[in-house]
Order: sequence, then structure tokens, then C-alpha cells
Amino acid sequence: MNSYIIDQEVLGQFVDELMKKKPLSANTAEELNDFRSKTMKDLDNSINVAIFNSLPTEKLAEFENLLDDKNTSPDIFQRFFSDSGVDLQKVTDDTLNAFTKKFLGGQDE
Amino acid sequence: MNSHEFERQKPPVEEVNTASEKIKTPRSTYQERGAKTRESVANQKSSPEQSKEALITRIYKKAQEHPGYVAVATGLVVGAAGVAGLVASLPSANLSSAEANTSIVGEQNEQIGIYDGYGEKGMWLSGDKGGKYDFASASEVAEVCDDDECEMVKYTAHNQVESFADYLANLPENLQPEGFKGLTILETEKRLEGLPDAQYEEMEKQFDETIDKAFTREATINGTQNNAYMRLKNPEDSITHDNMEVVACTTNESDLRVMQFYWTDENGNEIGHMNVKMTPVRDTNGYIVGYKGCNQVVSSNPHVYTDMPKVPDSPPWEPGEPEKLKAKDPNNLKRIDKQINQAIEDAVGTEKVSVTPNQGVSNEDLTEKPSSSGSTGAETVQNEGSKDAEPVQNGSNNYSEDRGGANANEYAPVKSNEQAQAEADANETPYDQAPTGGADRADVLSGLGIN
Repeated sequence: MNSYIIDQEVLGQFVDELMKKKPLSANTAEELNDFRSKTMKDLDNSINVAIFNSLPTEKLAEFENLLDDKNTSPDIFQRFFSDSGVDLQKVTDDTLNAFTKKFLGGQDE
Repeated sequence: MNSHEFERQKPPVEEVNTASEKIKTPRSTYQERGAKTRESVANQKSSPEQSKEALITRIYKKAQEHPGYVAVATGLVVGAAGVAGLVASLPSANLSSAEANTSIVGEQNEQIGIYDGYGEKGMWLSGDKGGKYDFASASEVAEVCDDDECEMVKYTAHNQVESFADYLANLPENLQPEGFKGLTILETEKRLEGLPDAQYEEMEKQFDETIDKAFTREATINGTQNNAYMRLKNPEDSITHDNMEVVACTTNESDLRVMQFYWTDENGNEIGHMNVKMTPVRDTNGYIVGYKGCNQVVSSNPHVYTDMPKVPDSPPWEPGEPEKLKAKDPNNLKRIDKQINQAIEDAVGTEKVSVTPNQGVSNEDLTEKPSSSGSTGAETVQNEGSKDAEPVQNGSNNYSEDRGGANANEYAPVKSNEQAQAEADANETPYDQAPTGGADRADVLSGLGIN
């Protein structure tokens, strides 16, 4: 079972770029990798929670039904969100921008 | 000697009882239990926001396992003005990729092993993996942990999720954490990797506490044993997570040495144990100078190795640095021999005993002086201060046959017969030919021609 929803290679690529742009306080390889993993998890969580929160509560139950069916294709998910009035790409872009600004502008952990 | 024996606290009674009760009750799967817990918690909350939060939590978990949704979410990130494009709009990078990877890590990579940063929870591999059938580089772990076996197990578990799963699956069931009881190693690993970070860290903390309560002792085990280890899928490729897999093997062991972790209840009764293979290397004095390989559990329970790729039962032995067993110090034996010989010399002396043909007379009774008769032989006289000897008589005071070598305290009659004296002088054995101390009395007499 994947611990991320979004492909971790894609997440990792984005996080690596972020980490290169900001001085970090990690002193060991272990600290560095822990920080990288945590950042990836935070990003994955931020994007998907933003997507789920874009749906009204009554639509969430319907969405959960789609998830319960393992045969639901990506197109069906796309159509579902579109029919629900959600622009998935915009939600994702906005979340990435906010995450990036927070990462570069805030305190690193 | 385990310094923790008198320091560690025994597990509280309620923990043991709780574990026993939960073993007896029917178990649902971890995910079912978790979902019910979240659902029951969600039902307790009254506000719509809290209900939605609970629903989103449940949906999040399901979304992780749905390939269709995963593809959608991944595509969204890739399509976000292109990942590179989005990042390019950010302030210029201060460090190149190479600098970012080396400036912070630097020498640490070489000291504590190379972490490939694949993204799984704490996948740690050593650039020098050591033995082919290792779980980790035990020598590096031992160096970091100062040869403390408990710390070595904790460190290995923290830095290699497969090791963590191996330990958890092989713990005594009453010590296994909730949600992990009775699972195989692979099931445990899958469950661990699926945990959110906070829960994973809690699992690590619980595991550390369990290991801290363990006592350790060296043991030897026999019979069919199972163990798991990491191996390269393709030995020609580099050591990365993608190229590694955990496999199981079965071996028939005889006097296999392991480090046994065991736990006791509040009464000091043993409640379970776990054998970890940490092969020590000893010097000629028997002191452990390091470890080679392993760190994995050795178990007679085949269940936990279910569904794991199997390797042939007897992996080919690879000659390596031979384990040095504690040997006796040959120098010590020689030293002891020397001490014994010296003691003998001090007690007995090195002077050779001279045997005179004039039996019955001790050396102290004799003094050589020129013969008053002009003969070339020495005339023996009785020294001043020596005791008078009894005349030789047949019977009770014929001490001659009781003599065995010179003895200052024994007195023997002196022959007053000149003829006997002359015969004795003629038969006198030169001192350098006289038998030394320890010679058999019969040999001495025989050497003198006396039977």
C-alpha cells in the first residue's frame, strides 16, 4: 500500500526543488531524509485534502462510493468532479502555490 | 553482563493482563478496527464540520488504495503548470543539485551508511552492506550503538523498515503492539508503511520501550531455524531500495550462537524471548572486538515468513573472516610451567647429591682431610658436633637398609672395620657420576654394585 496518494516520484521531484531553494538546518543524512519525507507527506496531504474539501458534504458520500468500487476509472473521477463544479486543476495549482510560499517564506523545521 | 538487569522496570501487571485479554477476544483487521474507531469517534461529534472531517479522513485512506484516483491526483500535480515550470517561477536556487546533496550530508554518508532517500519510512542501506546474507551492516550499527545489543536492535529497526517488521512479527505475541499480533513479516511491513507519520513514530516509541525492558543473554540454538535477510535482486546493479528485497531462508543449525532477548513478569518469570543473530568477532583473549553481519531474527516459527520469497534451504557458505573463539593463552601455560619449575628448583635445589660408599654416614659427618697414613685416599673422620653413631649390629639398629640417600637427621653406625673402609673407598663413586636427587634407591644401590 502506498503511503502517499500522489506518485511519490513526482512528489519527490517537487520537494527536492523546494529544498534546493532554501537553506536547511538538517545536520545529518538522517535528518535531511526525515525532513524530505515529512515535506512530501505534508504536500500529498495538502493537495488531496484540498481536493476533498472542494466537494460539499453530500457529494463526499457519493465520492466515497466511487472509491469503494475498485473499477472506477480516472475518467469517471474527472467527470464526477467536473459535474460537481470543481476545477481540480485550479485546486491543485492553488494548493501548490500556497504550499510553496509557506515553505520558502516560513520557518523550516 | 547486562547492566540493565537491576535498572529496568518490570512491565506493570495491567499491561500484561490487557494483552492477555485481547489475545483471547476475536480480532478484527487493523483497518476494520481503525475504521470503526474513526466512525464511532465521528458519531460522537455533533458539529457538521467535525463529521466532514471524519468523512474526509476515511476517504483519504480509501483514496490511497484506489489506483484510479491516484492517477488523477498525480496527473493534477504534473499538470500544475509543469512541476519545473512552477518551481522556475520561484526565486533562483542558491545551491546546485550536487551541492545540495553533498553540502549537508557530506561525510555523514560514509560514517553512518548511505540513505538512498527513496521515500519509504527509514529505508537505510549501508554502502558497504557487508555479508551477503545480512539484514544490515552489523559492524556499523555496533559502532554507532557502542556494542549495546538493545540499542543495535532499536537502531536497525528505526533505519530499516524491513528490520522493524522482522522484529515486530517475531516478538512474543503478548508483547506485540495492537494491530500487529500474529501477522507475518510482510503483513507487518505493509501495515507499518501504511501508517501516518505520527502513528509510525508512536510504533517506534512502543517498540523502543519493549526492547528497553528486555534482558539479553548469549545462547546457542539447534534445529531448523528460519530467518530473513535483505538481498540484491540484481547483484550487478547498485545498492538501492529498488534493487533490494527481503527474503527468507531455512537452515539446519547446530550450536548456532545468538543474542537472546527475553522478558519477565513482575515475579521474574520469563514470559517470552526472541533470538537475534549478531555474530561477534572475538580476539584471542575472547573479547568481542566487533560484529559481522546479521541483526535479523532467527526463529523456529515458520508462520511469520509466509509469502516471503524463499531462497534455497542451505545458502552456500561464503568464506569470510573466521570467527575467533575464545582461546587459551599459550603464553600463560608456559608461564605456569616456568613458575612450577622455579618452585621446584627453589625447594629442592640444583646441587647434585653425592653418594658415598660409606653407608650409614651422612655428608655432614664427613670431612675430607689428607690421610694421616699417607695414602692417596681421603680419610674420613667424624666431624665435631656430629652425634656419635651406634656400632653396627645385626638386628634392630641396622639402619643401613633404611637409608635412602643422604639425610642429615639420620644416624647410622660407622664402620670401624678398616677392611670395610678400604673396600668402600675403592668402590666410591665419583660425585659427577653419582645419581642426583629423585633417583630410584634401587638404581643408586645398583650403581654402587650393591644389591
